[in-house]
Amino acid sequence: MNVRLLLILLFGLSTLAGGAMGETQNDALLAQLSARSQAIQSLEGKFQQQKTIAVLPVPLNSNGRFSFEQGKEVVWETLVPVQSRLTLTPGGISFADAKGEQKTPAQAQQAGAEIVAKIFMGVIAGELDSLQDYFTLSATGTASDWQIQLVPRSANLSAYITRIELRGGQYTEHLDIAEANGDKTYIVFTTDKVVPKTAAQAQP
Amino acid sequence: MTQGTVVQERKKLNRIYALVWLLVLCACAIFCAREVTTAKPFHSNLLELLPRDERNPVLHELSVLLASRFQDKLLVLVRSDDPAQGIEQARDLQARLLASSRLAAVQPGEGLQQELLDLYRPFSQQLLSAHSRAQLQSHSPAELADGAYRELFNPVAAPRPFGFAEDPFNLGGQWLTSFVPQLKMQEYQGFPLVEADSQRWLLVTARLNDSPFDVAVQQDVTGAVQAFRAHWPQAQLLTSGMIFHAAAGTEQATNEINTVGLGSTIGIIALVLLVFRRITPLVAVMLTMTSAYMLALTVSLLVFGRIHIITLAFGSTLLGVAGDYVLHFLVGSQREGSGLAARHHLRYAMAIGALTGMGAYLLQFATPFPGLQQMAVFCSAGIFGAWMTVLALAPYYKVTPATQHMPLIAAGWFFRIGQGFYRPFWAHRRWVGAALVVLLAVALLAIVRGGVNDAVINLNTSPKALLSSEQQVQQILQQPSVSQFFYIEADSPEQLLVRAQQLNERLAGLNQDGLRWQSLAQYLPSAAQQTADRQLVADKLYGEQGALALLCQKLGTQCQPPTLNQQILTPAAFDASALAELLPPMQEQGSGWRTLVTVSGHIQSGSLGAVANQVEGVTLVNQTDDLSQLLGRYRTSVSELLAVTLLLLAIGLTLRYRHHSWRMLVPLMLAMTVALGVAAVEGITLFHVMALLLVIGIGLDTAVFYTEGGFTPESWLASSLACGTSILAFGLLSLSAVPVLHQFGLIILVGILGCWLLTPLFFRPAAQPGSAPVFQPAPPAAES
Repeated sequence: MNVRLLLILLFGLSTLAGGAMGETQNDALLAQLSARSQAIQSLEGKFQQQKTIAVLPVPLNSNGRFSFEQGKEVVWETLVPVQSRLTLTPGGISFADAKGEQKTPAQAQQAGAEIVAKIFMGVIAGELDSLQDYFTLSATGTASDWQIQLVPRSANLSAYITRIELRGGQYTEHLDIAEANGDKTYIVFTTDKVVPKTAAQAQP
Repeated sequence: MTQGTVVQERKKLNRIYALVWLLVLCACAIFCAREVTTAKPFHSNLLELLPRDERNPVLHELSVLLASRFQDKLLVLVRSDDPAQGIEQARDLQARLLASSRLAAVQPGEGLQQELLDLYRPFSQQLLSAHSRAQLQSHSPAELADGAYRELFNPVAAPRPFGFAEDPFNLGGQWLTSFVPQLKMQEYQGFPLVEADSQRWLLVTARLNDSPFDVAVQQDVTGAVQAFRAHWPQAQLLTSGMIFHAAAGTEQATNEINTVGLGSTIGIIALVLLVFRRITPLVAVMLTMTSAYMLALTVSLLVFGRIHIITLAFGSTLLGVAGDYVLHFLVGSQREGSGLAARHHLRYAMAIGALTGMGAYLLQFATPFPGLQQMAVFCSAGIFGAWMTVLALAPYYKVTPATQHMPLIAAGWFFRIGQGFYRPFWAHRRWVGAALVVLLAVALLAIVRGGVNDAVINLNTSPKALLSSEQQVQQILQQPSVSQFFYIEADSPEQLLVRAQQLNERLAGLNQDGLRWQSLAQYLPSAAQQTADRQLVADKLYGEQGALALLCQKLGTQCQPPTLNQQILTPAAFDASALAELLPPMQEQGSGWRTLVTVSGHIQSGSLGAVANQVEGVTLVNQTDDLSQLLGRYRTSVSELLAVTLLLLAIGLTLRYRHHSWRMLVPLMLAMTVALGVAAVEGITLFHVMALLLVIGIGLDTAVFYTEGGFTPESWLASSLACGTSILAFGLLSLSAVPVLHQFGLIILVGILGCWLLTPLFFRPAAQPGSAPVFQPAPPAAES
């Protein structure tokens, strides 16, 4: 495949010359939040998702559970109205439907989904550093009441995603995604159980 | 007219001639200096040395276009198993490369994604990826509705570029994601991070603003990479791009020119000083060589405009050949006592020598290899220059009585060595004859055993490490193969796309893991396909009991199916988009249309060839094989040319020298056979056979000398000097790492060495050495 075409098709790719990490004072807040999510060993909870689709009068509601284990996996399990379980690991993604059947997306689609998954994993696990690859991050508020705006760095990613917003206190409580096609997704997290890293894990 | 006025006239003519020659040389010097500084005529583009594929010019054009995409960029993979560490190296390398104004960053197309969306948007309901088409065909509307419903809740669903209203089943998203390569590639801090065989690499790219064969760009790139390697000695790099090969070619050729040029210059200076022990002959030799080289360069620049560096390297051997004329002249002047007399005495010999030499080189001009044509013109012009220089300078070369006998003393001394060497051989004619027969047999055996070698690698100028690095990058990034691809012909664009689509299906049917291909039809389905897909979509998704109605029931809402476009995405509209230039081209030629389908990854020629046979109008092109066959064909035709030349030569010599002609032919043929036998160790190539043509030219001179004068101090000295300088030049060339140069050098080295040493065996001097022509019967070596 032609290299230039390859770069375009991997729509997440941008031409950012040197990461250009944010230079404002909210760096301190981002660093603090990043350190805090790094200190978590595992976390689990429930989510409520509302999706509004541009032409549909009614929003699509769903809910389920999520869990996250530092450096290992993120599980996103939708329970209502359809059952599905999505597992993201650094090695890849797997998706199982209600009957527990593994659905392997067509290989080509997987490549696209992997980038979406990487962004998703970064949001859930609070891996702010990996999000920096795709978005410009800006944080406002305090460590106990904060919000982070994610704006795509590249025009190619902006063709799909307009903006992502994360809000929270101790943990992430809200995730709002605005897509370029007009669809919006609002997710509310309720964190049930948090296991902090032990001293040994914190210092590898 | 009195004797005096004739002499005056002669002197005047000589002066005018010398003046004209001087003016021509000055003009040449000014022209070369201007060309070299402004036009930068030297390049190292191997493709320009290769013959055009005479059977299919369109195919040639398309493959050149394909190759040109490989030319204007460079790719470097930086091993980064730990990307956090590798990124520093990648950034540093990119910064070093982009510091050059001749290189620019590869823009992954800011906004091009948007252009892609705009191009496909109006046709989103009739462009189906193979996967979605299969889904629609094999599932009921209920199943499709269920799948789409679930997809709405899937957090990592394919992106929905066109929204629910326009494209409720996200056919557009599936269409676009079907293009994404099956490469494990992601972005890491602005650099693509590729994973292959559990190794991770960061990709650094740059685009060349100038041709990769421009020496200035080559210096910038190699300079940046060298500085990078010095700074990161532990870094592991893989490079790809014509620029690296071109730079290696330039470096290689520069080294060759320096070695061959310097080596033969020093050798010739040493020989001249040893024999003549004076500065004036040396000045004459140097002047002749400079003029020869200058004229050769001028004529080549005028004829070709641009000159390949290999031509220059081969041209350096011209120094040795050009030296012959002036050496003959100098030896003659010593004997005759003045340059003018020597010129008069040698005028026919020099004319015949120069014309046959030029003829031998110009035979190569008849071959369709542009590289050899360049060498032919370069060397013929050089020989002409040397000849003319000797003619112009002759009246001004004075031999004083004091110095006249010195070289003859040297010749006498050298003659005694020669005599001492050959006396035992002359004494045991039978043994020598038998030994020569054995030598001939061994050489013939080596030729038969060695066989032929038409591998394209003979044309290569890149070091092995560079080639292997190139291959690894091609493999890791799944770059399309430049040497193997499908070629599709059709009467109309529509038929072309239909055939390309059929080929796609067959290729998919192969189910070969690791085989990938890129075809226009993947991005632009034929009108028939678009119409059929639109019908499928209308039936399965938007009918009364279609999937959309069922989906909207589930969603508890009313919804309208999108309006289907009645138009077709046409090749013309597609061609106007920015995407077209990134894909295999589609070209109109006469009444027909042509395109290429590139393949990458793990290529099995056998099964691809079988696939090509199944679809009408499709051929699998294997450029490597084609070129190899071409080399084989030319090897055969040059061999025939060689045979005809030898036959004509035998007839000519027999007419002139009667029954003594075998004495000239046998050593020449023997030397040629031995040379070919030595070369056959690596398989006989086209270039070996071509070099034999040159051996005839140079080797025959030696035999003519002995036939005309017998084995005398002068003939032995002149032949040794002439052969010695050529042996020196071509011997150095045979050490070349460039296969073409090595093959030329080896044949000529062994061939001339053979002629020099074998010919005297057949010319046993009469009782008094130095007396008139000696045609003594010698052992009939080849016939015994």
